[in-house]
Amino acid sequence: MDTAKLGTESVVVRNQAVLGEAPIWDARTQNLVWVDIIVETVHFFDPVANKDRAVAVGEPVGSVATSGGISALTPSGCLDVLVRMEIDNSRRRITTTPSLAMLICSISTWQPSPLEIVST
Amino acid sequence: MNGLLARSLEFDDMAMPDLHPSGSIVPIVLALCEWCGAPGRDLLSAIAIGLELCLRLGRAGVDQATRMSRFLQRGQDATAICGCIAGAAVAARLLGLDSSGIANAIGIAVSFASGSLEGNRSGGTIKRFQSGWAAKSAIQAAMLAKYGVEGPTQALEGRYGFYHCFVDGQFDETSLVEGLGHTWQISDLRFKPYPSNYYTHTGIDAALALRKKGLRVDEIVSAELAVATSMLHTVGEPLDRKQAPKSTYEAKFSAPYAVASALIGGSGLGLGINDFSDEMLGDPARRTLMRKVSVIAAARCDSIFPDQAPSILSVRTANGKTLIEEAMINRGSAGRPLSDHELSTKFSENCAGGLAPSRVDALRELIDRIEEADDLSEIVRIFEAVSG
Repeated sequence: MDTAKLGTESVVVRNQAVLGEAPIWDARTQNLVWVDIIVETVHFFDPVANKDRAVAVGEPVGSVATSGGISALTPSGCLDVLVRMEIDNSRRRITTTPSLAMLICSISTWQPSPLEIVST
Repeated sequence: MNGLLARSLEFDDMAMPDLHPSGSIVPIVLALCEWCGAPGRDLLSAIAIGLELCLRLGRAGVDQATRMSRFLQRGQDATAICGCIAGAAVAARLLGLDSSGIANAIGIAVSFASGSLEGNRSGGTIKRFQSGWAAKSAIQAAMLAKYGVEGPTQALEGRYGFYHCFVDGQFDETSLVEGLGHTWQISDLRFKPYPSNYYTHTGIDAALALRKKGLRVDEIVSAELAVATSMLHTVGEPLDRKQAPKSTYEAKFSAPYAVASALIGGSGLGLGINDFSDEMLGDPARRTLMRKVSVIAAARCDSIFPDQAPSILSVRTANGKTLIEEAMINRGSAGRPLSDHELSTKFSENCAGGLAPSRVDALRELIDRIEEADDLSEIVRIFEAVSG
């Protein structure tokens, strides 16, 4: 091990992770990808912009794989995390189905909006 | 069966740009509420939620830049496809499943969702089955979820999920979930005044207006109907086929047939169910007149679509005049709503083929008071008497 080089390392991502793991360089997106197992997030650090983005996975995430896209390894299997990095709302997109189901469950009853009263 | 019948007459509701949600949602909710003995208030809420989900699932696939439905552009029947998924969700809710069960029902329904719109162009009778098929599949999906079958956790948004399969993964997640349960897009749901494809309706309005102003059929040399490009694909192309529909069902997707029929004059609210009969289709005067009607796209109509499905009708007469009539706002939309009397007329016309007038009135009264009903038994009894 080259101890001289170790001495020049510095902290590139200042983030209060609960349990950060599995850093991997993704050549396609030029991002450092890493996970926070306990917080159930996959992080994308862009060194050029010096910006770290967190994507909620919805379950504990142990690692990531970068084959074509970014897949998070979770108890459910492999989840697509970011098929398209350019989409700003990707954090919400990966939980669309469970979010929608929870909303459907929570609707108490239908109340006509003012427009409906006018139009009928 | 109810879903099939609801779609058959092309008289079901409309949500721009390409959805007719009630044809699948209402049969699903009616069947399950009857089965569960649910009160009328629950039925109304379930219908509202199902319609809302269907609209949101479909509209999340609208290209915000062009305002075109990606489903429609690909020839997909968003009504049946989104109706199946929305129906499965609301069916699962009616069956008492929790959010996990509803998510499973959605995921299973994604595997069942299907429907092509080619029938709008080149005929056939299968399209009318598609809302019924969606309703059947939706209930099956909910029942499978109830008994333990699981859907994919990212059924809608995943790399191989619903939106990827149908619209190349392009969808607006925000419009799908934001405000759900608080803001209702069903405020924009429209009643159809005429039993034909929605894109023929403003052409009918324009033709009826010219007729009311005194235009006679024997004066007409030619007519040109300008519509939005998306409308042209459905009701004006291929023109030779649209000018000579081979069945009454094809006639419902023909702007030349609709305009010619309205210029001659019809029943109901202007054109009714009886105006799309075999007898009318074979009427020599009608066949001659519809061959004089051409259909084109106009930028002015494109600029309004899909808020409205507008038409501009130009008629050249034997004395050399050109009469122009514009119909830019659809009758039955919020900007030009049908009156209670007009809705009642439509209801009576729809029921006339299957129910005696006294039963039609009884049914109308029960529906008017459905919010107070403890269950649907009285309504069901009216239909049982007919089928029995």
